[in-house]
Amino acid sequence: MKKNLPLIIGLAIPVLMIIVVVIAVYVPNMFAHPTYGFVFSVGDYPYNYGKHYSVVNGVIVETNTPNPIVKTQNGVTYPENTTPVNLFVYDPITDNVRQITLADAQKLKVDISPKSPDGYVLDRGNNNVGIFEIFGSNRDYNAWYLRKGVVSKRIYLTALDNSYYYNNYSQFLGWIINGGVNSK
Amino acid sequence: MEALTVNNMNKDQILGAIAEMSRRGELSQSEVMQAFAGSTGQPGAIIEKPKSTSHLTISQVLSTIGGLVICIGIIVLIFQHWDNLTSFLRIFVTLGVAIAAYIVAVLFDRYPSFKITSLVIFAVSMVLVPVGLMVTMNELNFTGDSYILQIIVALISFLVAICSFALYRSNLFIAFSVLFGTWLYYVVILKLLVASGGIFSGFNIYAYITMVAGLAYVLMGYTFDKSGTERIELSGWLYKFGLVAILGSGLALGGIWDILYVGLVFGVIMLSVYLKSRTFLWLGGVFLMFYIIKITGKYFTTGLGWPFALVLAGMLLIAVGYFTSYIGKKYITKNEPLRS
Repeated sequence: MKKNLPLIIGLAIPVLMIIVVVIAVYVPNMFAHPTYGFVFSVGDYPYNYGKHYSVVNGVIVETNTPNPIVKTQNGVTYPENTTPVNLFVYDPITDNVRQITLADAQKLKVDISPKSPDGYVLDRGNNNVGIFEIFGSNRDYNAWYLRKGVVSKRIYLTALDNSYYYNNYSQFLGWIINGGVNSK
Repeated sequence: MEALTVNNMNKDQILGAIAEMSRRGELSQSEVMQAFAGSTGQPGAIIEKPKSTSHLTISQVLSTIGGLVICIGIIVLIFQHWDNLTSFLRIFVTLGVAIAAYIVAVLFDRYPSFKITSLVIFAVSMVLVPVGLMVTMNELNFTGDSYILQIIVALISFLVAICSFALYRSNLFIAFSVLFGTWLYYVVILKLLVASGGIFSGFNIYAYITMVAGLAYVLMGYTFDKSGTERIELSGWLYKFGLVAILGSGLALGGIWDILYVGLVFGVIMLSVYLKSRTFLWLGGVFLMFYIIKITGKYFTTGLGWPFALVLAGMLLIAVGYFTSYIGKKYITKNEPLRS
């Protein structure tokens, strides 16, 4: 036993390292309890014509940039290069995303600070390329986290049809500070 | 019954007793060498340098080359016809060949004259096992991410290597166990880091996990080094890879490690005296040189300017060279035990 003690220690320390990483990753997450939801828009490409959403004095407002280029087909006039823009709310209590109308969104009071009143920030997941990609990589562009210091909670901003709500054409509008997290 | 003593044992009996005690682990090579070194020069007490155990026979060389040629041939054949193979055939020519090679190696292992051939075929099988598992998982439409796939493959490969070692007690399976175990260790931690949400984003965690792996290698190498058995052949490689991992990781880290590294590298050099290992001395010296170059470039170029910094670094490198050479000649060369 004494003769093999270095071997036992040598085999144990990688296992201990894994345990330490598990504890460091999962234990803080048990203490992540964000209470403020947020509103975001999808499809709001800044250089597109059409609808855009922003926050003015804590209220979501809609602006419209008319498309000067139109086409007429069969007597009907169509604006070109407009993409639909929709509003969504993330609820941290149910850990779910739902679409809302502009009318509902304008009932909410929104804080545009990057940090929520309880100290969380919305952060993108780690683009993990490992160790020079020797073991591959995990480029999960759609992993989002509500992070506060070392504590973080992964949130899933995806739709049921496997397309992603939150992508490069999405815009964080603000934290919902009235109506509570169960705003309907 | 009269007890055997040195006076009534002939040379063959003494040698047989030494061999038996060595097999039982009661006597190590270093103890026998120390007994020779401790003789007072009486007639017959000739100190002979033991023959090197690292030379290869023609049979071993040809078997190794044959094994490599087999691997290359199989890989090329598969690569050329991969698109034309069905899923079953793809699994058959990878995992199937790995299993077949393993069975053939087991059969060859029963005959002492085919031990080397058996080991070569075992090596071929061990290399093909993870490849075959990857192909099998791919053909079964595994949908998890790449880290989960690697964890499954590395775990199975590691278990195969460990079980093989338990059955055949060969250094080959220890080597593959270490290899697959290291792979498993890295992919498990990398998978955990993905789930971490960047908790370690400001922290060079990769250097630390490499350092831990290196430390494990060195400790395993030390155990094998002191075992006095055939495991000593692995200790040299474990020391080399382990020290490169530890010292390389320390060099990659900055901040407080710019100070701690001095202690680390001199600790390695001092350990070379205790372990009587030139590997420790050489690698300690080499990484001390890298450290000098790094620190000179990082902290002294703006103050002294590049030319003076280079002169300073050069002088320190010369000093390190003389220092390591002195340590080697004075404390290590005469007393270094045989390793790989």
